[in-house]
Amino acid sequence: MDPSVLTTLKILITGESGVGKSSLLLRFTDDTFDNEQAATIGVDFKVKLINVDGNNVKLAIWDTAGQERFRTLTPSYYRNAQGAILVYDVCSRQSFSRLDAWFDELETYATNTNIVKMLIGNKIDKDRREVSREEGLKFAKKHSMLFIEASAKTKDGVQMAFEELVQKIIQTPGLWEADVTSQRGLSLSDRTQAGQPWSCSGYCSMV
Amino acid sequence: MGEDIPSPCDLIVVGTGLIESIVASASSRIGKQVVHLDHRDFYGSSWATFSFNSLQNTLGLVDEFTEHTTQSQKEASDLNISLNSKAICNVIEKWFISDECKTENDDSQECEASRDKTSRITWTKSELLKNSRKFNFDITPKLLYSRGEMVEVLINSGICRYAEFKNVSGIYTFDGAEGCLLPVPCSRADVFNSKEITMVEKRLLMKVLAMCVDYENKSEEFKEYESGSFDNFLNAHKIQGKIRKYLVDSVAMANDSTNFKDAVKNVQKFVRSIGRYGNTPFLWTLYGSGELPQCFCRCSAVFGGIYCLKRNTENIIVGSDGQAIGIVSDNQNLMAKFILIEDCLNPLAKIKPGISRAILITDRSLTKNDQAAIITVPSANGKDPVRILELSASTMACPPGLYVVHLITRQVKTAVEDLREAINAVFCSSEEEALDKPNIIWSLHFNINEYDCPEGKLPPNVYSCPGPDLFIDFDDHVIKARNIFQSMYPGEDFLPKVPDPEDVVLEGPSEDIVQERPLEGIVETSPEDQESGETRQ
Repeated sequence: MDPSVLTTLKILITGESGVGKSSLLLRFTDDTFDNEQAATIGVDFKVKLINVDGNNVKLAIWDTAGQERFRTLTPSYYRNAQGAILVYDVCSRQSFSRLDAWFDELETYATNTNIVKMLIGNKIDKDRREVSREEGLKFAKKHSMLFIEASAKTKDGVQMAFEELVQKIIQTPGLWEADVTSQRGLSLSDRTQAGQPWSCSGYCSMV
Repeated sequence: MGEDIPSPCDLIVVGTGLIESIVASASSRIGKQVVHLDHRDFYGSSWATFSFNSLQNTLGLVDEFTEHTTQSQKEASDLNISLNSKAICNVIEKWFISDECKTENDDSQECEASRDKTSRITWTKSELLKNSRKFNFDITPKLLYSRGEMVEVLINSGICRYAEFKNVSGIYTFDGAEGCLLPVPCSRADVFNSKEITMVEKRLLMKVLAMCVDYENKSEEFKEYESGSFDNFLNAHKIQGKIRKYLVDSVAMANDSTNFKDAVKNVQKFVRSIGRYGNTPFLWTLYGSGELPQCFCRCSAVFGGIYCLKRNTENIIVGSDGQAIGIVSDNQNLMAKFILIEDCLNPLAKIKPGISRAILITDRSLTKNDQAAIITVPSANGKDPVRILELSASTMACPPGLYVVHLITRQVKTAVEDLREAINAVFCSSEEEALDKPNIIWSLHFNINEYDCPEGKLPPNVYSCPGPDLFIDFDDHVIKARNIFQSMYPGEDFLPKVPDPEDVVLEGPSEDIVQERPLEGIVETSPEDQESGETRQ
């Protein structure tokens, strides 16, 4: 890894279909917004470098790949995440009432017990609000989450949300340091092919 | 459900087992619209990994692995999908500990303290269940050869980014005569440092390995053995004793009747896989083998695959030309060009004896293993050997201080009967504490069915995918999945590399730098806030 980068963090986004998860992600990473954005296709995760408290931090922000549509995220989606963002649409009561289920799933499958959680009420640019700020705040307090209302469309709160989340993660000991993450498993990739070609590995080197 | 499943689509996959998931991802990857359904509420079908509670619920220790559905009236030409076929049967759970703390005095504080100090930890049933989520129990535990088909497809496709692995740290074969485990040497140094075998044996072992690895280049020399058994070849080269055990039990993963060619293929894979990621040829999937089907499903979803669990499929709709045109799922007709189903849902499949399995929780390692170890207990009388996988806490299989042990063999009678001998040989399951053997704390026995699927009876655009098999690795299933994909989409690339998002790093503009002070608008909450928040209400 680039020595100037302090760490890479896995952050995931969950919540009901259509609340604007991908829009928040794309607003933050690419500073774009598409009103007509179709259901998520082809976005696995996005990587962005940000600087928090003087530290360069690489964020890998994972999208649901649309698997939340029928509430069928894979448990493996949650593995090793340091931060989780739960999103609801302030103009959709239904997306808010489903938060309990999303929170339970997060609690069940997140492998870092001290994962930092944030609640985002999205689409505050719209007028037909169905969920008040107080209700969102109450849910966040109940579950010890960071809370912000935002709009991916107008950019309101988006940058702030991610930065605050990262700041909180960095301040949480035992969540991201190299000695913690190195205890996990090894990753396969052609870049990290340890060892030699088979012809001189193992037994056969001697014959 | 608020949303509709797209119909028609290119491919409907029923069941989220390994082959189904691989084919789903490969098809989505080339732009085909895939709908992937499972009537279960979890991914992986007979390949799934469970926490303690979910295992008990799913295996119905609560009685049902798959739920029954009432079959409505079907048109005669349609094929009913047999949702009520149980892939898993003969399930027997047994506890070897009481629900009370087993220390001399019953003071629970004392109990906590003794846990820290003694190497032998005393667990109670309720404590184990309290740690339910720290357990990852595989229905179908399998290893990856570091240079096998599964590792190659994971790397080539980029799907490897969804999983992490541990090296298998030890390979052993059980010596029935001596009643002990023999470590199988996995490197030149291992071979020459071994005190178990003589210098002559060492040279002989290395010679045979070299011959096998070079098999393709020297096919002339092997002509006389090619049609025979591996045993025959070893006899001809006077391979006896321990080195024969190493070769047959572990390196070739063979038994008395394995044919020469299959055994040599395994030897080659074993030897070529050594040294890529560690000293043994094998990798274990962190959090369990059930991660792998999920990884392929995720890839499929990223490329537009639609995922829907808890969704029943009642039957396959067959057109007048004998081709399937879709399925009926929760009373909705879903149309597709191709249909893929699990064997155990195939209406024409016949159950045959499959695999005998046991999962144990033990209180100590058989092998001083701190990662994962594979142990082979050979069986006499031409029966299949019992493969034992021992997983430590570092594989995420269980909490520290415990071990999860998987036993796998071919089903002859029931899992309990088929595995009794092996379990008695290496574990202690009774009160008389044998200090040199690990104690069994909990055990679960079950059988996994295999299926005979008559070829050519299904409509030509319906594929039936085999479930778990006896092999220790996934490679056969990867090959089968690729074959199905290539028969549906001839000439198309099988899981080409996905661009790595890591390569597209977006640099934030300079104003992205965060001030050290918390930003206005963000509310940081804590449980204390919650209380004050509630009182204000």
